[in-house]
Amino acid sequence: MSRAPAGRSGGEALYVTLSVPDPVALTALAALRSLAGPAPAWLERGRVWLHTGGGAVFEAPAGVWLNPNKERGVRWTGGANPWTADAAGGGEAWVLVRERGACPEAGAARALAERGERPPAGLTCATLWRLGPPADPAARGAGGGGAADRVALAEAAAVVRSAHRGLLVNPHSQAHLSLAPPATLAELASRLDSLAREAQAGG
Amino acid sequence: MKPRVALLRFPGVNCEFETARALACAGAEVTWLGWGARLEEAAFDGFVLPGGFSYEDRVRAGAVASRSEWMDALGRAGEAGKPVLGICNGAQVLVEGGLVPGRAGLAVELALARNRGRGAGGYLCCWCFVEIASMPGWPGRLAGTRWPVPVAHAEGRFVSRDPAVRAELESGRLGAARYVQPDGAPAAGSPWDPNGSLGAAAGVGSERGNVLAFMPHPERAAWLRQVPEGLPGEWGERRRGARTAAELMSPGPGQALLDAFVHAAREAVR
Repeated sequence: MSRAPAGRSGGEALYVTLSVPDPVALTALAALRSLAGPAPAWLERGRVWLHTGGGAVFEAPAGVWLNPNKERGVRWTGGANPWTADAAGGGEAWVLVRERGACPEAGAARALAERGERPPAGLTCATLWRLGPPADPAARGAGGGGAADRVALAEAAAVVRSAHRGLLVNPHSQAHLSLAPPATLAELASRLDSLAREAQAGG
Repeated sequence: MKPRVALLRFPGVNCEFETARALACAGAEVTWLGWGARLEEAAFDGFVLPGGFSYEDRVRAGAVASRSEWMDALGRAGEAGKPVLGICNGAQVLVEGGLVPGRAGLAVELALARNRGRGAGGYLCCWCFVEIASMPGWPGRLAGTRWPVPVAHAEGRFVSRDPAVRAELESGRLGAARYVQPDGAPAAGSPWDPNGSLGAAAGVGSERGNVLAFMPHPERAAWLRQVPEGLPGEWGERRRGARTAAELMSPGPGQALLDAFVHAAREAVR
């Protein structure tokens, strides 16, 4: 597991992906390319955990937060976003997703309880889809790939409207947020909080 | 002349053999189309999407298959009034592709969310009872009938964020079939309502009724021998009373739905 520089903003986050190429993301990318409209150049899927309750629960994540035999995690404890290459001009967009009315944190709480550990307070999780900017610069939007363009492209590619539009999120059963990668952990926490509220309200 | 029925096999489908057998018993000439084959809707009188796990349920159950080129042909067949039946995973494909309810330019107005009923959740495999609603199209031939049929799914809860669609589901106006108790009383919670669907919907049809997304498995109830002996009601009694091979191989409760489908396909031939 790699680790971002520690900071003083409070809280920590963990991004978990498969160690091998993700067949779900590869299939989704192929399906997106068959649809009308610009498709992302690449697609990655992972699981985001955020903990704001104090302590360092993600410091040794193997066992509860990820399976070390097939997954890897990148911890974010402050400073710049270590999950994106945006600082190097990556231009990617994110789509955060949660099932409406579901409580995905309950599984981790159960796993911790089985180990005799108390589940930490202030835990939130979501699925994260990372969408690379379209290969064709002309397809990146009128703003040349700025934050608004990225959100619009992610929204178009992700949200199911018909058999020809969208794939990653069915808004009738899933809540989502399309966004440019957050620059700070506090921004990520705010976004995840909004998403969790939306998902709970729509259950 | 037998009606020609296309059985569409996406990768990961696993109920095609029993579905084809039950359709053939209903009088259809069944053609299997494998993933990647070209679907000429004019060459067939009806279309069936069997159950299974298309594309391993990647992204969401039915989501990737619903982006296949076959969906355009199915949309045209539905427009032409030909019968289309999606069973379980096939129903999920029809919902994710907007073929049911199939209004407003095939916009996706529903989702089949993860099971979350009162007293039940997650993957569930059990026998339920369904009652067919009064509706247009071929399923309407069975309006008012109530029969047992197995379900086997983890994502079978019909939901919608659209207030108008929600209201239609909750009132039962949109549901082509709903889960009920064996005596016909509303199914409220486990075990008779397996997933918490709005309006206890087990199936949803298109506005004209010729396209049906049906979550239970009628092909697993096509012969009396498939009915559990312990099931309450008329079909359980019949099963307990069956003594001969001929009785056990007589039509089961689910065959009526497949018969109605094939009958509609036969009418499409004329």
